[in-house]
Amino acid sequence: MSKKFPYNTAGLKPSRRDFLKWSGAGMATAMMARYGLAPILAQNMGEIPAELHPGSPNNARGWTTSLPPIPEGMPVDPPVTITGSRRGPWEFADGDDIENSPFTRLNAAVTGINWKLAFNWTDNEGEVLQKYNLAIASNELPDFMETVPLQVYSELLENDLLEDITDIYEEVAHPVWLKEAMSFSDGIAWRLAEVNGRKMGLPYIEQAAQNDKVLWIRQDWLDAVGMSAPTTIEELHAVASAFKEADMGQGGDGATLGIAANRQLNTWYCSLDPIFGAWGVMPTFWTPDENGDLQYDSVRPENKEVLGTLRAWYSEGLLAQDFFTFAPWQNAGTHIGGNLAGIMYSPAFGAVYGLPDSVANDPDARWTFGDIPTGPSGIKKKAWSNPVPDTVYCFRKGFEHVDLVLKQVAWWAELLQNPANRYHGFEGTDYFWRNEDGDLDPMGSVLDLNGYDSTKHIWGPPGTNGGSRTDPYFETNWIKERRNVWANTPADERDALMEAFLGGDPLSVLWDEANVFAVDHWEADGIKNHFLTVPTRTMERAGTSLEGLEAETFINIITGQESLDRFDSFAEEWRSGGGDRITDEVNEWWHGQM
Amino acid sequence: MTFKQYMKRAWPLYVMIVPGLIFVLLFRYYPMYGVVIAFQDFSPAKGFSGSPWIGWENFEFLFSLPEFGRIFSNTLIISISKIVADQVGAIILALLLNEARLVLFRRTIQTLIYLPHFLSWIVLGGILLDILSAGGILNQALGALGIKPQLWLGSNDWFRGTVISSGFWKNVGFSTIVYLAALTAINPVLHEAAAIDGAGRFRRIWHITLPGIRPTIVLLAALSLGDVLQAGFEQILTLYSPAVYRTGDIIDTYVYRVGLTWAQWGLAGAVGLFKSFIGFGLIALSYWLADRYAGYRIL
Repeated sequence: MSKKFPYNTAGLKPSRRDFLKWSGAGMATAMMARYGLAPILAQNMGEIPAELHPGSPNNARGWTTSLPPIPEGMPVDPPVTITGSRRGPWEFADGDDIENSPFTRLNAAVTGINWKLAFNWTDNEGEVLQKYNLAIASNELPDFMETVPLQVYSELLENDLLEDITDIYEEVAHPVWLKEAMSFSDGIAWRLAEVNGRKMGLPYIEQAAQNDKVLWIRQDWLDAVGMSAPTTIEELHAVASAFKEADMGQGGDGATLGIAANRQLNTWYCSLDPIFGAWGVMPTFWTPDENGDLQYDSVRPENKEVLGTLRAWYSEGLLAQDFFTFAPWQNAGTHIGGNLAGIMYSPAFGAVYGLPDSVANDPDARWTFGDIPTGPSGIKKKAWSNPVPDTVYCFRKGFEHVDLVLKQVAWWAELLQNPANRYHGFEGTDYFWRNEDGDLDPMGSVLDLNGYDSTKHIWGPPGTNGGSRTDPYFETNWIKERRNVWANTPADERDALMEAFLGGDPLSVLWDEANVFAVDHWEADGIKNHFLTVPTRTMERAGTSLEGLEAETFINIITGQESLDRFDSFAEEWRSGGGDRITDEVNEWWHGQM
Repeated sequence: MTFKQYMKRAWPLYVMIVPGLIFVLLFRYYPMYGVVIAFQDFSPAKGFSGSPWIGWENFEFLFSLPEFGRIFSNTLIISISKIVADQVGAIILALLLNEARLVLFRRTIQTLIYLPHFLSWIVLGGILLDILSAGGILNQALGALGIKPQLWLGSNDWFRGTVISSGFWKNVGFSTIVYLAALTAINPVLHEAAAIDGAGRFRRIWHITLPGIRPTIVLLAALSLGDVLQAGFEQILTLYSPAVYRTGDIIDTYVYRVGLTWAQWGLAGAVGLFKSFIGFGLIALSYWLADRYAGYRIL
């Protein structure tokens, strides 16, 4: 297993020995050498008043958060005020608000920036468009714009309302926390933020491999049938058949399934994408062909072999007879939670989605995960989950302090993303943030185990509502720190932060392990969807029709309602029904990109 | 009485109408200007005034869709079957309940069949999926009787039937109550006289009860014509899957997929306008029918 700690970039990839070295007492020194950071000097820390310091002043077994060195020339004097837009209704306690919180107070002390709210919107999609359009119409754009939707972004570009930050970025952006961190996967982070080679904003980056599948399998069932975890599709078939044969599941007689699946063949949970991947195709994705053009994978002839395989599995009862009536989330309760299936392709978070129900219904259930099996010609591929959604952070044209924002982002990125700094919010900050369901989520509690939600009140990455970072490997790095460093700390020497994170239940531990595993295989095994822009004209018009045709045909072939040869006429129908025109449009965009 | 005298007496009534009138104008008529997007290549960023006008293109596109015939006929078949099943079922249930002697029994049944009306399709969809799945309760029960299990939601043979019967189960209670109310309006003297003349239960139902509620039957049937393009969007959205697009995809679910995936607001607007146009024509027709056969008029 290759270590991506702390970065995946080839030239800087640390060896296993490096990793072990960091795991020991020399960690802090090694990290500093690695990042070229000056040792954190006492007087530097002293400039920040103690009451602004993050961490756990009141905790019985408190820990220290290390602050990165204050960037050169900061805090700026006199302080500057920068306006920004924010997503979400919130509630702050103790007289705090979005412009005056532990974040803004510490940030002002470090950078000299005071943030001022221009406007905010809730999670309602219409509202964000209204607010930005109003700001455009009234010529009152904020200096810094959070998560600008694609439609607004293109309008801002068309009307030349955005600051080109290319030159200032080259000059001041932190070499590690911005430039290097954002260069993963051939610079995919910049696909939207960069226009004609010019940087028109900062990318929004989520976490690596967050939806990449691993093979989840019941170890207790494997033991019962005397088999080991499958490494090829053929073995997968044998194991699934053995589970069914032995009727391992909890349903009625013969109710056991080979593998959990649903109506979406390439999806986020109980997906079959790694089976298509075993033949090197990925339905619904656009991939480069041998001539360098993009092709639509769903119509490639290889699909026919995969469909033939799935068709055979369905007729043998390995897939649920009515699997295609289930949506992905419904698998969790029925097939996994109900212990009907002992095999699924799901992301790392599958450990805490579906599996808890399974274990609750069958205390003997022992789940494990492994690599996805390879296909007949040795191919091992799955859908690559893209951590860069369709949104960008933008700067108003004429805004003078882009450099200050970039420096602030780098300082906070280092504070949050370098596990050695041990940042976990501000203790005792009792804030609430409205979530997607409209409920108020508590946030900011230091020992909150729900991850890193205490960053939502931070302005700009690595904070903002939604949790964008500058580094897609951030979460994995923290997991490695917990597993490899904290776990090796003797129990009586652990502080409250370590205790809180190490106290997870077995399934959470499994989640962490699966996450590290999935991230390690992210680049090598992922098939990328290369079509990453707004839908083309013909897609808008014929897309629903073609999508329906595809979904219907694939399901009907698997369930035997139509013959396997139907695939050929489907591919033909797809092409003549608008697919050829879409392919031309997609390639026009694709070649314009390069 | 002169107009002046009349207004002197009636003005408070007119004042009382004003808030309601404003409400209707503001929330029912003002938003209608949104139909302009049916004739635009609408983009929310550009707004109603900025989006380019494209004439009838959205409509031409809609009618030229390869699936248009399929979704249109699915919509009609499902909604007409629902209307017929709902009306006939409600009349039969109302007659049965009306004949029941025990008040407690009648009330209990009436409440029970009315209850599903209050559940949302999102909740019911999850429950139905469970009950009707391949290994669900229904198939298990049928299996115990030696009947072959069926894919109630996954097969094109059964999907419409499942939609119609689950819709019937959810909505019939409401229509039944309307008919029960109509039944109470029939003068009991007629029943007594007929009984004395020696008419049995069925003759009384045929000659007294049914003619008594005929205006209600005609009225409800005629008014439901206006809903003929509403085949039950939420219900089908929660129950269908690509395998049953052939028999279950209706105009609304298709437009939902167009709007959700490809952000075709203008097309969705055109479909809405098309449905409203047909609905308006049918409501006018049904109003004429209600007047002709049931003597029902608004003015």
